[in-house]
Amino acid sequence: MRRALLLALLGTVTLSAAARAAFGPSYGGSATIAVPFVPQATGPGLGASTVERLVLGLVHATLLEIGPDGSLRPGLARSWASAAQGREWTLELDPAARFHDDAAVTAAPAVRSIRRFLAGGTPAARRLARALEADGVGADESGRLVLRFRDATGRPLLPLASFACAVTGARGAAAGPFIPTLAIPGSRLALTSFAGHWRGRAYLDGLTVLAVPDDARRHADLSAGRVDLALGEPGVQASATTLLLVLNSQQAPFDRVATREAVAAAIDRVALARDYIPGGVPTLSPLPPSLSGTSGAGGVPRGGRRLAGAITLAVATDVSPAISQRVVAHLDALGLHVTATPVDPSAARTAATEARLFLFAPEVADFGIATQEVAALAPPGPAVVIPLAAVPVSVGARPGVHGVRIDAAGRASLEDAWVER
Amino acid sequence: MTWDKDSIRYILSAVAPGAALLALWLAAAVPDAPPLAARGRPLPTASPILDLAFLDDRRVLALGQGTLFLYRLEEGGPVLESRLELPGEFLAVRAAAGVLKVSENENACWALTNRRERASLVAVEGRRLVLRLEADAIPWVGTGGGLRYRPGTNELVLDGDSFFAVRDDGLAVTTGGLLKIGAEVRPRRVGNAVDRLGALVVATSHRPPGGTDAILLLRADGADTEVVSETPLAATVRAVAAREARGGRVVVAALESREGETDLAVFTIPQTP
Repeated sequence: MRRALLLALLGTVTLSAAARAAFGPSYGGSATIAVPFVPQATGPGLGASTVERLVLGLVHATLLEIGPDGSLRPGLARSWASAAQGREWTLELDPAARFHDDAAVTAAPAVRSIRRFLAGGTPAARRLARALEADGVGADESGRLVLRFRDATGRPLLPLASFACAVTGARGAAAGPFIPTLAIPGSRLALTSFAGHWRGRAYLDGLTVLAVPDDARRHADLSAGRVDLALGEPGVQASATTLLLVLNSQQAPFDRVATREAVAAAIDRVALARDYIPGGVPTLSPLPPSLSGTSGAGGVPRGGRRLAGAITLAVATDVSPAISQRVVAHLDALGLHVTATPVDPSAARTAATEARLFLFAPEVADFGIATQEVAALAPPGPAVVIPLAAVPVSVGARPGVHGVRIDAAGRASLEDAWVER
Repeated sequence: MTWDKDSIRYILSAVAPGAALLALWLAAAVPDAPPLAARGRPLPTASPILDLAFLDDRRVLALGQGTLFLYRLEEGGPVLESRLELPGEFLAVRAAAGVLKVSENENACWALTNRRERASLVAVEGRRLVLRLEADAIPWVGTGGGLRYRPGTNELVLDGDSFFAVRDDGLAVTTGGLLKIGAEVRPRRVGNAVDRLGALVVATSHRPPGGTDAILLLRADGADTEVVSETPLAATVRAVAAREARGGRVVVAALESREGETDLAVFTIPQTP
């Protein structure tokens, strides 16, 4: 197939940001990316928002990664193999891998990082903890990482691709493509290329992550060339997050099934996606289309039932105000008095309010883990996760900036970004 | 559609008629335009090809990330004649690059990639490639430091200046993508690969990422650098080598697909009146 396509009309070939350039890539230069907010910390974590996942990918490295087709790819571990009928897995670390403090990435910090991950209790960590034998993480005499599982299961190493399982050194140093050099909490994060990265140093010498909370301002800054890249602007994109409304079935008024049904039925998903979410698609699936393979189902909104009561809606700060105002309007129309409170995206997943509105992206791009993750978003009881729309993760770039990628878990990567000089 | 066994020529005319039309349009637009025609069948290579150079009229050297290959050009396409693993440890570089400098008189070539610390002088003995010696850089007339890669990058450094490609006849591509002929940097943007073909220059296109590329034939008369023809390709041209031989004018190109597989393809340029 590929040979038949070697020669074809220039204009018929779809552009791909991941494709190799006819010219370049060029090393050097720096870039600034405008984002809605700058995370307070850069330590390993779940990455509840697109911005957090972006920063985690710049600073950290994981043992394994997940490719566009869902298969495992080498990360700090360059190879892996199973034994004992699939109950024991051995990972060989890349001998070139080093931390930002120039210490070698060996089995000892990898084991310590996996134990930290297991203690963190993210959905992927819980899955790994359930599958592992007691004290099932260690190293062999050759310095390879060894994981022993209770049973042979399908794809047991997937959780290692979680940013919460990023490997850090004894002094906390990370091993990602960029080193944070200056952090002004909430406003700016400056990074410099890590020359010792095991895949080779990144093309950009430096990168600045700049908080520009206002959507219109980000658009204007990119258009005017004041920034090189902007999160949420048209460009490279993947349909990798879902806008979820989660109702707390333990609290009034959502302790009543009829109330929850009324809310689920009243929101006009089609209009919400069409009018307020660029590139958005109405959905009834809580998983993003990149995992569920479904989208475009909105249903016909049904009004009529009148509700009463006052609720607090926790809104993640990475949800556009236009979207949250529209959802509030729908709830108001039902008769609910809504107080919207902005909260950090990770807090939005667990806030003890009557309702929460946030963008969901899976911890790792795997259907099984993501399904468990969605189930964990709701307190015990009837399902109260109301999917509203599939929302693309997108990064816009000014002309002359190349190499931006977004994976199926909504991770925007600037590791291979470069600028024409 | 599956790969047709005929040749790229078939694909140009039947599979991608648009490409042929564009080439014809360019040919009509530029006097004396000699569009490329494929010769034989492309040959898949075992490694990405970083540079190509003719050893003589019938043989081409191809530099992989850690291997030097010798191909013989037959009418049916290239045939692998020999290969040699280059010495040294593998270096991690995000964008692999390499350069060859052939000494026809000595039947040898210098090979340097940014994946190895040192340059290698390789001789061709009969059909074999034999490592002769290693050096920190490729020796270059008129320079003290020779030709080397800036560590960890795809930038060649020669006399303090940076290039994506350097040929020993004074042809080069700056890291800004400009063609340099002799001491003069021309206002003509090209891609990373370039070679001389008599009075013409063969170059790849200055296109952003997208998996498409083109082979340009340029005429550099005086201060002007005019495009003589442009052959669009749905693949990235990673390396080119060109030669005027008794059998005609030949261009060998390493074509890389979006999946990262490389084919060695041979084109001829019909002589024009």
